[in-house]
Amino acid sequence: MNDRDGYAQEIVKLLPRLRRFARALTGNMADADDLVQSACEKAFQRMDQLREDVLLDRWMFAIVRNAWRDDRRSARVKSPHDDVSEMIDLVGEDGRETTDRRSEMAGLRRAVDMLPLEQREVVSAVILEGLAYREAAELLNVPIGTVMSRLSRARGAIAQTLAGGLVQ
Amino acid sequence: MKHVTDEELKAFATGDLPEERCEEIALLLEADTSLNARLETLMDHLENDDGLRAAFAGVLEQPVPRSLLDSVVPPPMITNVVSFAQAKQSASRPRRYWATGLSMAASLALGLVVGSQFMTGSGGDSGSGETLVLASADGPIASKDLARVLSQLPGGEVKMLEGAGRARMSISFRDGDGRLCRQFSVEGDTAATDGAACWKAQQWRIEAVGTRAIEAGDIRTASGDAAEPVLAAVDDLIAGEPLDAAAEAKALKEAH
Repeated sequence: MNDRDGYAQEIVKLLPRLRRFARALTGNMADADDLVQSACEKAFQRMDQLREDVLLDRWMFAIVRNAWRDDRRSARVKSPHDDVSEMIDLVGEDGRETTDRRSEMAGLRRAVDMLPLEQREVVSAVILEGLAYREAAELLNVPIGTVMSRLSRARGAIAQTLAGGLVQ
Repeated sequence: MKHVTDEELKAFATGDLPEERCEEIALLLEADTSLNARLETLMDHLENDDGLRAAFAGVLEQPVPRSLLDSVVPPPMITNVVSFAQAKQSASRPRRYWATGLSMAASLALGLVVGSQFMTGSGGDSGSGETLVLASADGPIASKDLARVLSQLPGGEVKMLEGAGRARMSISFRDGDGRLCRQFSVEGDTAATDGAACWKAQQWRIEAVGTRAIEAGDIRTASGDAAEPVLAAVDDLIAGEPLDAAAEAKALKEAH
């Protein structure tokens, strides 16, 4: 098996997580899938730059994050459109999930979508991906204190949105 | 006693503090109502963290779109397509269906469109070929899960493959080189992936793959109903008659 095939298989395994990360950054699945695809293309072009001591997933997350920062669409203000709910509808849920619970989750996604990009990055890295502050700081290339303060502001803003504290 | 930071409070709440500091904070909490309020706020936020993970979990559970997979996995793995060309090419009868098919760009493009409609049009449950076939230096091979059923499941029987659908073995046969080959299907609710695989050098080599839509309540015969390219590939590969149950059981012992 050559390197590209080996990496391709590893990256295929990462795709669900990369899509979740990208969805949190972009605010919608269509841009998320575009973003992951272009990040994968960049990754294959730069495969020789991947150092042995760097985990492939961290490397890929950094490429996704930087690709979105370079993407003009990242500056666009999106109207709220909850495609994750639609996606779940499409797959066909088993009905266990109550309407309340679903609208609560939709509210949480909306609250994240309303955050500034730098806060969405931290929420994705620390809360969704479960990275330690130090790891998130390396991934996002900011000091660890910045990660903590962004996260703290993001948590506060999310709580405020959920409490209806922001005018829609 | 040091000031209690939010991070420390959070670590206290989740039980991640050294015992000594934990006791100090517990004492403070008894006396300090403002600290209590801070802890409550933090707990709410932590609850939101769980909620956030749940809110985005749908993305993890959703099958990855075919177009995205195709951009990561090298083109030779887009196999459903390639045998289209092969079906028209029986004169030379090469064994490597993708190799020949790949040069035929028109057929490839046609197959891609058809393939991706089946893969994504059903809302994800499509006998998802992506988890079934892996790239290797020797060409496409069966994933671990698929290889297991190919090596074990008798013809005509069905087994659920987690996340992919119902795996069903159609016929087993020998090819011109004496390899043991099997025609199989993995069926989702609205689409199925069919394929032919042959055992060589401790691997199930995927010789052809195709997708097709299936109707609700569709009843399958042993081998008749499968994607056209796969049927063509089986016709092309098979030497002699399909194996009967006893011969198949014996032959499957080779494939471990």
